Amino acid sequence: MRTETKRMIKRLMRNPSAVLGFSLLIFFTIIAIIAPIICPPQSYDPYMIPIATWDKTPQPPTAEHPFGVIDGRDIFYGVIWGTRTAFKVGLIVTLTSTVIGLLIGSVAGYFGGWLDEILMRITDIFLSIPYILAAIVVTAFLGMGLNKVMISLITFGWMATARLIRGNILQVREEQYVLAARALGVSDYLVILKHVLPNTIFPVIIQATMRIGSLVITAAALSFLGLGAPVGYADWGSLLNFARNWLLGASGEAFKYWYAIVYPGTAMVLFVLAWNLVGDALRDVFDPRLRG
Amino acid sequence: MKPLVKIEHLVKYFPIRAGIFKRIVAWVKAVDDVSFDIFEGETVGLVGESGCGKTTIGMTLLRLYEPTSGRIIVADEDTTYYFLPSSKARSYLKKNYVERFQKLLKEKGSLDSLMNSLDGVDRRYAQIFFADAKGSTTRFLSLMLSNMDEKRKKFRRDLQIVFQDPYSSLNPRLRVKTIVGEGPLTHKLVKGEKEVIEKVKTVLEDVGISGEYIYRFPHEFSGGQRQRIGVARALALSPKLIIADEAVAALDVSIRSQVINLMKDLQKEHKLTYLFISHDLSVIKYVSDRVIVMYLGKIVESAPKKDLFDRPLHPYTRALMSAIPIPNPNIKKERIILKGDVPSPINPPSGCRFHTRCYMSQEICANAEPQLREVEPKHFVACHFV
Repeated sequence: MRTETKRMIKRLMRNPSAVLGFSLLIFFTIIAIIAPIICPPQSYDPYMIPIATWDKTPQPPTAEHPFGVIDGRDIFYGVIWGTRTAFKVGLIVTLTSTVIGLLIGSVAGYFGGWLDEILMRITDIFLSIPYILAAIVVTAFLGMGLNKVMISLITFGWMATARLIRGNILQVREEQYVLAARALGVSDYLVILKHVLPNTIFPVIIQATMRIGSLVITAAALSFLGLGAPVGYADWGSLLNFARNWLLGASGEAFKYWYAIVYPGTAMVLFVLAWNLVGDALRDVFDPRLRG
Repeated sequence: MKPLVKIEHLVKYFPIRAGIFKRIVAWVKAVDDVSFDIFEGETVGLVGESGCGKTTIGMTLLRLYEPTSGRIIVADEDTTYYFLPSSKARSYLKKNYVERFQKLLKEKGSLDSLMNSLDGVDRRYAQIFFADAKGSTTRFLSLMLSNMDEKRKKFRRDLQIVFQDPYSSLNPRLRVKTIVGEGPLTHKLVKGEKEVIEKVKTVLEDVGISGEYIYRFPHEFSGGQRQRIGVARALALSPKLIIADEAVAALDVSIRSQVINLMKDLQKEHKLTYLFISHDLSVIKYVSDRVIVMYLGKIVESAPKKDLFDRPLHPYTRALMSAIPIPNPNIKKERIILKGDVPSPINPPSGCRFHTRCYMSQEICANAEPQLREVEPKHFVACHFV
């Protein structure tokens, strides 16, 4: 098994986009971990960006504020601590909604019949509601705050997983190698563990990995609309929300306030890219048929 | 020769459900009252068009499907109740043995004449019921239902299957070692990594695959090799009967003969019994000792291979035989062309199920169902005009 892991890592190292994805991810992880060292918190809540000046107009980068200042707040601080927010939102929402989806989907797939019918119709109902709209409505209903955003994203984020695992289980259940294992006298529990799950779970893991990135975008979109984190919270979406009023630049100088968009925007794009590349890499590793 | 497997009045219906309440609206009568024996060491060929129920028989025999009714006796044990939930197993045993024995006892009057009227499994079970259990239903049931785990394992060891599709019959995520070693490990025939590897290597070499390949994945093999691995997986349990469900249908012709010859060699070496399910008459002709012809869930003819191929008696068999291509353009053969398709097994024709397509069909065929009868020694036919 150890040689197997070694070979897997070796193959990953040969794939440049996988290397880029994992490097970016490691980079973001380190930043999230050492955030208090880079930007020591100045108030009781480290996630609140300290106010640098009471002047509301954006100020270009200086030595003291390397990414500039917007709405009186230091963009650098927001981007650094925003990494933690991004991880928090992405991981918690994805993990929870994947677990819910797995539970519903596998129950429906294994037991079939009535239960399957009911669970899948519920899934259909949830799927029929537009995602962003539903998230906006639920967040508005629950009230502001990052936790509320996460709840609404979880509520409307589990259906794809449920569908995926159910379909896979239905397909694998009838595969001849599952029948063969049953004919060998392998217990149901082991058939599921050794034959059904390994052939069904990986698409779910890959899909979840890729979803972490897109969830951060959705959360940012909600923040951008003013529904997410409270004002001044270290969150890339909130930083972009501040920049909304300055998007057009000054007269004659379209790119005057570029730093207000570019820094948080770049952080977000790289974060999403990292998860997508990692998802791709995992897909290649997990599928033995693609092995060279 | 002793029968290894006795199938008695096997019936398998699949429900068709429809509507939001999943009501059963109809039944697919895949196998309808089929009885036959498989003797130790022989190869029985089961032929018929697609949809005639031959695969269902294989699956039901292996208990991957539960039979709707009927009895499956393997190595002198009634195995029908082995995989039923315990309440169903109890009611099966009560209905098939306890109640029958009690009724017989009343009819016959004495225990001796009852014993004399029974044979095989029935006789043994009657002994268990009247002697060991002293006529007590609960004691009989607990005797019959003891050691179920062991009985199931033995059943699984005795009966194995080789599937049709060499691509989907091997788990793509497991190495050959795990695939072939799974059976022996499950049945504790081997202990520890070293013994597993040894066992897998021996079995693989038995089927003509180098023991060096045990760490490979299925996709690294060709179709023929994969099918050999499928045979090895079955062989690893040293089974008595191997059901080959269209085992060579997916292979191309040259590989097909290799695999068939391999299976024939293995049969001699390991004293195997085969149930060879196929739609390919030339394959059946090559491997079988005895051939059973099925049509729409029923046996229409059953005979030793030579008799059947030399003198087919049932019109359906004759039509099949006339369709075998002969690689000689000078021989003109009269072909019997069957009209139409196989009727739906949901609503099979009345009387003889073949009468809608039969060139000999008369009025009686639509009204009365012909019984399978022995017209010549060991040659059974179900037709009114034979």
